[in-house]
Amino acid sequence: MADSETTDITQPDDFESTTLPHLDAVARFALSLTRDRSDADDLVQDTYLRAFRGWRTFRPGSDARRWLFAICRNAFLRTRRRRGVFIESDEGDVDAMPAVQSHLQAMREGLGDLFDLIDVQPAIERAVGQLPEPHHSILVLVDLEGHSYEEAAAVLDIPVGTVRSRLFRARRMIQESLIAFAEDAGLARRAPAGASPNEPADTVAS
Amino acid sequence: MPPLDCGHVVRALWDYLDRALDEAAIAAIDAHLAECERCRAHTAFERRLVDELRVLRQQHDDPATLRAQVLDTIRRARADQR
Repeated sequence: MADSETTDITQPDDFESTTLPHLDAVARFALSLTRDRSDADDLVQDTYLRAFRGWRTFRPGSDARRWLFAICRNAFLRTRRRRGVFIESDEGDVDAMPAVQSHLQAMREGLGDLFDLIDVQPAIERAVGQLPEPHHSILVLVDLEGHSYEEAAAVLDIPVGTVRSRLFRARRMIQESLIAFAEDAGLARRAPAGASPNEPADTVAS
Repeated sequence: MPPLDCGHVVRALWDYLDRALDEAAIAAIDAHLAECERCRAHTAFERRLVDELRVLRQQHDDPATLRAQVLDTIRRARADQR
């Protein structure tokens, strides 16, 4: 990038006028990542401090919100690593399984109405909080924050195909967690002896 | 676009729910779902998950205080640079 395209840090008002309109969105994103109000506020402060210090690297006219989200997400990951709760899990595209696998499992266990059988919001919130990275951040960006695959890919600096596969994997993990929750609550029906663990092939291949 | 089979619809279901397909593909899946009860059930299940996840989205309950804290952080960082 040519120097002429970088922002002159001697123009202090530009930083505030460019970044502060996105404060509410950054705060919401931070809260989605941390699921804790105090941690989210700390993360927002850290994000803006890092953004200020890196203001020279911001290209005028580019997407400031996306830039701030990327800084926020990276700051969040650094915090998790420091706390020793960071678990990197990346099984790549091989896990871009059809969406319905969890539904088939739920139906086999008599849990076709899974979402009406359990107290779904606390169960989902807990499941989201337990997602490993990088799946957690992608699910937050797309499902909670409403970003497109392309926007999430830009924030995370990964290919769109990787966003899709990791997002779908994350949703599967949430569903599996909900099914396990229902099983623990004694809501599942035992499969008959000798029943195949797999759905007939015509379900997904007809 | 020719009629789709269940396998095609299942593989494209999350892209469909995320509106990440073009209009022709969406219309083809809509046409399949109108005829296929099983795929409609799959779609309803997956749509419910996506809808429930969106409910988790939260707003900060005290944005004015947070804004003041951020402005103070910037002010102090700027003072440190001088």
